[in-house]
Amino acid sequence: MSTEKKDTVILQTSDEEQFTVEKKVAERSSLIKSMLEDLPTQEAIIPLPNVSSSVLSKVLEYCDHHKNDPLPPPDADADDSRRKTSDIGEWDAKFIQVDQEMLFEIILASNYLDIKPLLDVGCKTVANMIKGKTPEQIRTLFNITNDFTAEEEEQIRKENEWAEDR
Amino acid sequence: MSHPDPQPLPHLPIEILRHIASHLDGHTAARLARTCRALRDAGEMKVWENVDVTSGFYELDTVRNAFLTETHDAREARVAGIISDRLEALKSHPLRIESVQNLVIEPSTSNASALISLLEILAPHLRSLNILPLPTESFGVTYTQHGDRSFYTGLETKQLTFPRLVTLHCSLSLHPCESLSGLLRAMPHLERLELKAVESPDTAEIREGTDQSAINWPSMSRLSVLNIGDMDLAWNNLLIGVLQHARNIESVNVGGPWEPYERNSAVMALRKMPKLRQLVWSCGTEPMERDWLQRFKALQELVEESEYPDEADECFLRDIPFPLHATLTKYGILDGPRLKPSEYASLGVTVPTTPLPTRGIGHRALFGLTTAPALTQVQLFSYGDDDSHSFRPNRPRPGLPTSDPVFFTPPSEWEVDGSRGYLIRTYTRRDEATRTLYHVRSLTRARQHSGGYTYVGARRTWQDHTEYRGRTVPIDVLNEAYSASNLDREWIVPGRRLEIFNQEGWKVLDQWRENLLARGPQYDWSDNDDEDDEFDDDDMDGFDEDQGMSDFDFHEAFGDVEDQLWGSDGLPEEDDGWTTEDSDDPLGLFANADQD
Repeated sequence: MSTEKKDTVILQTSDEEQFTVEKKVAERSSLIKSMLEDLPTQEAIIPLPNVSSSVLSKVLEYCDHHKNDPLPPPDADADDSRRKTSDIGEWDAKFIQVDQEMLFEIILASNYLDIKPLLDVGCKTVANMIKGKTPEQIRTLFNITNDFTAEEEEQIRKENEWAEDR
Repeated sequence: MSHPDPQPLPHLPIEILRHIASHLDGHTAARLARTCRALRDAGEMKVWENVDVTSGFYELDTVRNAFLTETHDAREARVAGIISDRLEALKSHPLRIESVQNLVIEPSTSNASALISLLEILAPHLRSLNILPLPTESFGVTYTQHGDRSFYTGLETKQLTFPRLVTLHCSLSLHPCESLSGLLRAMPHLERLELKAVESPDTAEIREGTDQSAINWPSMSRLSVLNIGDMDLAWNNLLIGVLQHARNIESVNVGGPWEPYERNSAVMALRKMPKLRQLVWSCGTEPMERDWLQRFKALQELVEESEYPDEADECFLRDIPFPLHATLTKYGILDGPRLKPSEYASLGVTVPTTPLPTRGIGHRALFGLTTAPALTQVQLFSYGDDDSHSFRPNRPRPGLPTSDPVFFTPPSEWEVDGSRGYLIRTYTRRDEATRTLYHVRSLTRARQHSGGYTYVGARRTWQDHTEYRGRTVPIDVLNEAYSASNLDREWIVPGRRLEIFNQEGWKVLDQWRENLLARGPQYDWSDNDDEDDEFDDDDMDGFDEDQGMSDFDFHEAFGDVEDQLWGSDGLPEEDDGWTTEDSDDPLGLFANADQD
């Protein structure tokens, strides 16, 4: 491994803050990885207009911790493997213990930056919050307004009832 | 809590919401769908992913018990109600139609047309279809035969196609070849076909009488996995028909009371499959005939049902009915339902009085290894009485989709997942093909106690057994040879990449061997594999490998080594039986008995 070369990149967030990051860490993001491949060499600053500095620093914390993990297969429509492993690793579980706002920000950022394992962790976390709750409890938890009419809600309930019985 | 309204859940993009819902069960997804408009679709996509319009017979014991009190007509009416409710709901919100990936049905005369209407709207989207036999009113034993024909003919009339379907699980009873071939023609992208033959006295004649030449099988070029459960002789033609039209099949799993004899045409067809890589064979109680195996040219993995593991749930290398196959790399042994180890203890099962061997693989195992020269992994699998843990193919399973039993797992995971087995590696000296070194590691639960052996709460340990031309190589000598060859000593990962021992490595082994020879035949081996030999001498007759041994001239292959190392006294008595007139050596493994 040649460590001599300058293998860092500069990321610029929506609030114009710049992060100098080890290339290996930044490349956990498939978006950044492909940008770097396309980019003429070095020195360029990669703008990330959809990510704020507070979220990016959190995301980079994740990337740094996982920088040596094997990369997930490019696409492979990993639906199956994703569902099978409903567990979240210990470190990840601790990492994702944030307030809802940050949780959703991390999910959006990992979606935008294309960091599949992090998106997975975020989505599983939300799913775990929902599990076992009634519709009313879900609404309370996420501050959701019920915008169905009573008839609509009743019809949806009836048509999906079979799944609730399972 | 969070700020007033930063990014509440409903405002996430739909693909993220779907991703979240994909981690929910159908039950919770249905509740999520009721919370608000923005979350409805994500929830419903998950809810409608799996649709089951069956009587529920295969679901749970509690449901099954209800069959005792429900009449046939009542059940049919109930299923008809389910189908029409689903149909209506699907039509009222078309997103649900696209969401359905997996469908389970139980065709009968009365519901055939409703099911066809359902399939008319779902066929373009389905990824898997599971057709179960409709249970009759007699609880759990036989199935209705009437009805599925009208379903299949109806399907053909409609000329439905299933462009996305990759998995078909199908229980056939009536006119199997006709109805199945019709169905398969509509599924051009099928990758996986699971058939369960539903046994019924009144259709046996019909099946026999079917004119096979009239069956129009489609070409199934994408089909790679074929599982047939409850196979018996009457289904031969069906198996042949599928095999002949799906030349890219790589994995076949056959189970059932089928005990084909030698010239069975289906077995012949199976042998001719050019890409057959994995074969899982649980027909009858016997392993597959040994000399059949060689004809499977591309075979790499074989799993067979066998009773070899003993009552204490252990299996020793010498007891394994080694497959006779030149390119087979993995061999699995299916072990029938057994008691839990703790239950053996409570039954007061006595521990063996003869000490069980802990080291050394002995002649028989060595012979076995030479019949399967490419073998790197032997793994033992147990299955319980519980259907859900069964490795047998095609039991009707609750829910969808059918899941693949996992057979071979990487040995590095054995300790974690509770597997047992053997890793085998052979090293062949390049310039002298007759010199072979076997290195075997086993993961076993047995642990020696002062009072005998225990299997309860026993520690799992790796044991090393190594053979060098009939003798056990001490592990320290082997380690020395490894380091002289610059080889990784780690033995967790099997494989044959390390076959080339360099000259330095062989020098270490040769030196060791010369030292042994210098000590003469009286050299005391008791610390190595004497116990092994004693074990061989025991009343172990009737073990199947004896049959193999009778065809093998042990002295021709190893005799000179025997004489030098053991002298005539050292030979176990049974060895006399091994010196037979002709060495039948189909693989040419022993053509060059080595000259020392």
